[in-house]
Amino acid sequence: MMLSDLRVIEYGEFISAPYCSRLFADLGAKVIKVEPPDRGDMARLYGPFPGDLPHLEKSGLFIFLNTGKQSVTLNLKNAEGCKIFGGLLEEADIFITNAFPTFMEQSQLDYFSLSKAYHKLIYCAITPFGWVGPYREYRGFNIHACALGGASWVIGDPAREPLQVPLNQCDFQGGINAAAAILVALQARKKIGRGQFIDISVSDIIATYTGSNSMSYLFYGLNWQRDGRRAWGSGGPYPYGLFACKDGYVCIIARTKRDWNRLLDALGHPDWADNPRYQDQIAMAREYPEEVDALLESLLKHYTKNELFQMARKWGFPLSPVKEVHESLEDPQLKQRKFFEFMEIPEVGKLCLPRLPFQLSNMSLKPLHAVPRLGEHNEMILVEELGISKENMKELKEKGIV
Amino acid sequence: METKPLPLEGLRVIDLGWVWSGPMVAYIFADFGAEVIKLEHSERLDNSRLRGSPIIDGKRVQGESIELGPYYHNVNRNKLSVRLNLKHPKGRELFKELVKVSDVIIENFTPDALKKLGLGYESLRDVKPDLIMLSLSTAGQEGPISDMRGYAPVISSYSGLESLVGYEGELPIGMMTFGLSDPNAANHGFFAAMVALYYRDRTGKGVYIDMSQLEASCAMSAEAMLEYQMNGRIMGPQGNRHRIQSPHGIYPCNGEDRWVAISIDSDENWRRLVEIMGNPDWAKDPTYQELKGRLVQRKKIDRGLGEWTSQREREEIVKTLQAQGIAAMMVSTVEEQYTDIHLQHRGIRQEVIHPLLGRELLTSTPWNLSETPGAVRKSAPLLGEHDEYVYSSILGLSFNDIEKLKEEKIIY
Repeated sequence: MMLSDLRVIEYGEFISAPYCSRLFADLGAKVIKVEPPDRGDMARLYGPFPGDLPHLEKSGLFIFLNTGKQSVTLNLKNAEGCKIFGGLLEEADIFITNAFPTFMEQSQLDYFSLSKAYHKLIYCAITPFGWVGPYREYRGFNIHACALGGASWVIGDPAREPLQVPLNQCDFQGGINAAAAILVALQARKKIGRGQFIDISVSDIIATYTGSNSMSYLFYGLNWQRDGRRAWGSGGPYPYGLFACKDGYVCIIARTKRDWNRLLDALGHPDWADNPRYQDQIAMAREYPEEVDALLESLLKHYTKNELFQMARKWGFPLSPVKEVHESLEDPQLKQRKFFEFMEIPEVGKLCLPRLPFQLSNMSLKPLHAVPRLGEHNEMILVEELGISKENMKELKEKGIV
Repeated sequence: METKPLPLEGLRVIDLGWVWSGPMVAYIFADFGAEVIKLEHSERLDNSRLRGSPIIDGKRVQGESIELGPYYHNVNRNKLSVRLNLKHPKGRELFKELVKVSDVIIENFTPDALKKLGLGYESLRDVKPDLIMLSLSTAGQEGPISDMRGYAPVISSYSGLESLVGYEGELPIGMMTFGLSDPNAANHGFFAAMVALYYRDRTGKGVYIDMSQLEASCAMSAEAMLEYQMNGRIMGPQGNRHRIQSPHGIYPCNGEDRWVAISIDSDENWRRLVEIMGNPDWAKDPTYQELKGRLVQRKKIDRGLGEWTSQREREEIVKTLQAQGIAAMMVSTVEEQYTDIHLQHRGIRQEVIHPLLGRELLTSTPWNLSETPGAVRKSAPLLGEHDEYVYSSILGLSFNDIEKLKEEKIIY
C-alpha cells in the first residue's frame, strides 16, 4: 500500500477532517480517530439513517467517511484526556483536525504548544475561515464558506435568494485540499527534517475556485452573478446552461462555433440555424438568450435525456443528461471501472459506497474495512499500545475521560 | 526577510494540460517550487488562450490576444513555456528526451490521444522507468462512455450534483458558473500525483494514475446515494436546507441584493437568536424549541427570520450573531472578494507584473504551510519564452539544431 508507513491521528467532526483522513486510510495509512466520549463525531447524528431512525452507528454519512479507521474516545476538555492524547501523537506523522482554534489553544493542543515535543509532526487544521484573520473566531459551516467564498453569489435565480453548494461540497473541498497540502508537507519534511503547521480555510479554497473562474467574466465586460439555469452572459458565447427536454433537463455547453453547429445539425438543422441572428453567439448570450432557449427547447422536447446524450456522443459536442445522484449506482461506466464497493454493515445491511476517484497502476486499494463503533479501539490502542493499565482505564471511564 | 525553502524544488513536471483541471494540477506543483514546463504548439494552443483580449478600464487591450488572457495567466503562473509539435516524429523524439529528465507528466487530453501518438504511459516508461504520469479525463481512460466530452458543469450534471441545486420542491437550476468539477478534479489529481511521488521515493517505482473527473464528482455525493439505498428516497433540489440544522439559509438584508447566511446548530442557539430578535410573537411557538419542530416548520421560520434580517445591515447581523456564537456570514459579492477585510488579511490574491498587461492580481496558493509556503512568484510565461532554456540548457541542443527545428515548425 502506498501510504502504509504513515500514522495519522484525526480529531475531526462532520466532513472536512474525516474526508481528509479517509483518503489516507484508503491508501493504507493507519488512522486513529479521536472522538468525544458522549456522542462522538457529529456526523454520527447526521444521517441518512435506515427508516429515518437516528442511531450513532447507522449514520450513512458517518459510515462513508470513516471506514477503515480506528475509533478511540477521549475527553479533550479534560487535562488528563489531553495527556493521553499526547501519547497518541508520539509515533504519529500527521495530525488532522477541524476543531475550533480557540478550543485547541485553550487546551494547549495548538501547533505552537505541541511542536516542541513532536517536532516531526505535520499538524493540519481545517476551519471554515482559517486559523488567522479577523473572522478566526467566527463559527461557520458549508453555507457560510459558500457565502464568503463567492460561490453563493453566482448560484440561484437573480430575483431570489442565492443558494448554497449542495451536499456540503465545500467541506469536502476542505478535506481534499488538506490531504494534498499534507503530502507537500511530507515532501518538505524530508528536506527540512521537521513537520509544520498547515492552515486550511474552506472559504479561502472556495474563493480561489471562484476567483479563477471569474477571470473569464470580469475582464470581458461580463457581470459575474447568478442567472438561474444559465451562466450569466454565458461567459462569452451561448449556449451554456441547463435546457428542458422530453423527460427532464440536459446540460449543454456549445460555446464554440463548431460545437454549436454540430448541435444544430444533430437536431436536424432547423430553418433558423443559418439566420445570422443565431450565429452571433455573443449577442445570443447577452441580448436574447430567452429567445434562443425557446427555439432550442422546441427541438429538444422531442428527445429524451438519453437520446440526446447518445446524439452528443455520436456528433461529438458536450452535452449531458442532468441525472439524479442515485443513478450513478447503476451506471455502466462506473461499474466497469469498479468505482463502487459493497460493504456489509451490522444492523444496516449491504451498502454500496464510492471509492477513490483514481486508479493507480499495479495497485489495488485496501478493501473497505469495517466502520468503527464509538470507542471500539479503546482497549487495543490505549491499553495495548499506550500501556494504560486496566484499573486506570476503569477510572478514566468513570470520570468520563474515555 | 528570511527565505523559506520551496518543498518541491528539484522536481521537473511536464504540463500537457488544457483549460482548467490539468493546468491547475501543474500550477500547484509550480507554486511549491517544482520546475513546470508547459508544452504547447502554435497550431494547437491551450484553448484558454483563445478567449480574446481583455477589457481593462473600459478599453480593449491591444496586442497579441493569445498572450493577454487573465484566465490563462492565472492557471499558468510560475510555469515555463515551451513550443513543441507532438504530431511530428522529431517532436515526439524530443519529447521523449525531455521525459527522461523529468519526474511527472500531467495530461488531460481525450483518452487514447497520447497512445495514438505512441506516447502512452507504457512507451514512456521504457525511456523513464520511474515516471509518474497523471491522466485526467472526463470519465476515465476506459469504459463505455470514455469518449464523452465535457466541461465542468456537464460532468457534474452526469454525476447528479446539479440536480440538487435549485429551490426546494421546484425544478433544478444547477450551478453553471461555479464550475466545481474542475478544481475538485485538479486537487484530487494533485493529491494522487503526490501520493505516487511519496511511493516512488520509498520504492523507486513509477506509477500511472488514471483519474476520472466524473468519479471525483460522484465520490462526494455519497449522502444522496445512501439516502436512496437506505430509504428509497430521491433527493431533489435542496435549496438552502440542512439535514440537522434549522433555521439554515440565506436571508435578505437592508440594501439591494444584499444577503446573509445564518444557521442554528443547537436548541440553545435558537433561544439566543430569538432573544436577539427581541422575542417576536411568531418565534414563541413551543414546537420551535427543538430541532424536530424547527425542521418541520422551517419555511415559516425562514419567513420570520427573513423579515427581521431585511431591516438590518449584513455586517451588523454578522457581528451581533457571531458575538453570541451563532454561525453567520455575509454573502460576498464579486467586488468584495477583493475588499473583504478577512480575505485581504489572509492574502487570497497575490500581485504579479505581467510583461504585457502590467499589474495583475492572481489567486494565491490557498494552503498556508508555516515552514514551506507556496507562492505566486512569476507571471504566466509568453508562448515559447523558455524554448532556449529547455532545448539548449536541459536537452543540450546546439543553436543550429534549434534553428532548424524552428524552420521545420517542430518548435513553432
